[in-house]
Amino acid sequence: MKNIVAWYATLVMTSFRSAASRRLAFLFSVLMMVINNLLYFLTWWIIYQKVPSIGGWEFRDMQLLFGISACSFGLCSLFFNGSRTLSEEILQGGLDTFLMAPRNVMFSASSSRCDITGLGDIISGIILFSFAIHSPTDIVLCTLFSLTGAIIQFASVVLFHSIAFWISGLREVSDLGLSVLLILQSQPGSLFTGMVRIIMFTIIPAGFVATLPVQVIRTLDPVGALLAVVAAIGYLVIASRIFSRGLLRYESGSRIELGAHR
Amino acid sequence: MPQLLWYLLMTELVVMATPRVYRDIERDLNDGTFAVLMQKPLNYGAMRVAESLGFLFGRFPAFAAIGGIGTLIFAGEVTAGLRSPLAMGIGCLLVLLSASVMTISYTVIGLCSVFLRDTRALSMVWDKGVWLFGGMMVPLVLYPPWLQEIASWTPFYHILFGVAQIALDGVTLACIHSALTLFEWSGVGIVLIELLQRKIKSDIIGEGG
Repeated sequence: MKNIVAWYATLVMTSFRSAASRRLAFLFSVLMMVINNLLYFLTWWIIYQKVPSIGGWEFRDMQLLFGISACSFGLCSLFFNGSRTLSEEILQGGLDTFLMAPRNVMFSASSSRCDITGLGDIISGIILFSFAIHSPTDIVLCTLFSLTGAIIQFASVVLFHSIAFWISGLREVSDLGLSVLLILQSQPGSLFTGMVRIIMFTIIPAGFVATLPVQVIRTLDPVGALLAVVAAIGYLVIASRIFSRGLLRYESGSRIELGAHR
Repeated sequence: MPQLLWYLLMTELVVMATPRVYRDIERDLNDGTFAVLMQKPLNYGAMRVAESLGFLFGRFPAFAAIGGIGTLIFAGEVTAGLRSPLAMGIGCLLVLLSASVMTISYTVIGLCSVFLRDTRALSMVWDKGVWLFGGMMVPLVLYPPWLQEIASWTPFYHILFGVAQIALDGVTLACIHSALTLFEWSGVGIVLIELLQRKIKSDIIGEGG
């Protein structure tokens, strides 16, 4: 276990160093991402200046929703950005390099790339949290839900891209899945009812990423918190199983590449 | 309500019809085409702008026709501001002018990729600026006065709201003012493209054969 953690930390640090090798470009990208997220949130601020609540969701709820969404997306981008190109790797035989190492293919392929703008997402999420947090419990819950949100997003992206094992040429569908997830998780949860709400807690689990966490922080409901944790573990297990099943159908591309593995 | 739908059509036309030229420039940079073209006796920035404007002018009629028919079906009528053929023509020209300024701005963003490697964050900020200060999601009249003031000093205000207000009020002096301001901003954009190209040419080192 210790070896796996050390290997994983090395992998993430290597991809982070590579992404941050041009310091000025790195800082600029991070800063731009912070500005981008805050500009987007400003729109909600303008709306909430005109209406006190949207379907029972107040401005503080939106701050928490955006904070959790941004932090979990940032964590996912920073540590598992390779998951967003999995379908490409599957179709072009790019998993060969990862199959040669005695490590979990899903994790090593997903951690092989780092999107440094994720740091900007995390910073903007923390800025939004700082205005909405009232107690130490809120800090603990926000941290916990950012982590569970990141795991659920990672698992969802793996699931969307695993389609490529069975059906080729659906890269757009995989990307669309992530886009829909991001759209659903950044809107007040009360806007969605009926079928959309069922989808939000099953196929596209945006509800577990941000909607449920905000409700838990509002009501301090321990069952809800437990449900979010169970959902994160559950989706990760499902993604891992489906990816492993798909890997049996994987056809090598005989691509020659050099990689560094510890 | 019909007024708002036509307003949204005009803003969407500007955003949707504009080619994302920064992606082409980034691709050129990654596959080496950029280095090859920069050595040739041609103005790379002007070439990319011209090519994108060609795309824009080519696909705009289709976008406008489909969007216009769709809006007419949902709104049930043409908004008063665009009812005369002259106003409709001026509206189309204004949208094309706005989209041209957007194209120039995307070229500037694309050229920044030489220094930034990845311009995704920069282009996202630009798009959010258009979205927020152009009044795409929430009409600018609902903004607090201080934010309206800030928005009016940005190019985004003229790119979207300045042009689309023709759907609300018809052809007014404000539209003409916005058109003139857009010409000024396009001049700023062209100067930036030229400055960036000079900087790139002085900084870039080409190796290989």
